[in-house]
Amino acid sequence: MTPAELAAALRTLLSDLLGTHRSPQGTTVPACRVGDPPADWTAEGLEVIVEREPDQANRPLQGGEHNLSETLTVHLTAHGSGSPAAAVRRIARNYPDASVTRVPANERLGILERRTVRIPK
Amino acid sequence: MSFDLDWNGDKIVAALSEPFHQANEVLGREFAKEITASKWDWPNEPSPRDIVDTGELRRSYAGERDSPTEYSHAWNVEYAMAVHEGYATRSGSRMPGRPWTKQPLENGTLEKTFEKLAQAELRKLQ
Repeated sequence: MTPAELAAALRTLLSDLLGTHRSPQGTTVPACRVGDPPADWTAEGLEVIVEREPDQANRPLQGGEHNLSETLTVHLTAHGSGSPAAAVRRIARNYPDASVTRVPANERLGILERRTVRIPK
Repeated sequence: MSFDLDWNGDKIVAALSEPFHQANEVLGREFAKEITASKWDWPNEPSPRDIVDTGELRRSYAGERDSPTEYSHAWNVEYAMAVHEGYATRSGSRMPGRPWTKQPLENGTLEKTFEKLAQAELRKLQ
């Protein structure tokens, strides 16, 4: 599964939960993509970003063998509204090996609520 | 024919407790090195950079022996998770994660250190 394939699957899975990305010209698209949107685009509601590069961890085994595991990372961020928690529940049902961490919103620092989901390839 | 196995589990756990805690203390020092390493990509200059601005995150580290078989590592500032995982802000900034715990954990620092220390203690039991 590539990042693009995962983004496409999540776009379908989370279609009713997704917010939007808006271009400077006013075009809107569902806020689910590989990599960050262009800096002059704005996000509203739930945004889902799949990192471009998988995370890799190599474990040496006996006899010169190795086990290279790859993980796709997905960030779900609430821009003003939207529920990362609801989206994570759906993702977990479809990708039961996924792990989840949370960055809590912080009003004082202006940090938005986010969940990061890591899905083994 | 029957065999009796006398397994002194309490003695073994007691012997392994100190190696376990010492291995965690080594892990804690590796975490600290990651925080001060200038290896983290950053959208502003300088990049790569370390994870030290005011030093508050680094100073907030607390490694605690919670019980003979439990050790906790914590960074007690409100933004620790945001720095570790990456975050987005109301103003539209998106900042990458700087997961300072990742490499020491993937390197097996805890397991390798514990194995070395534990072997020495277990030999004393024989």
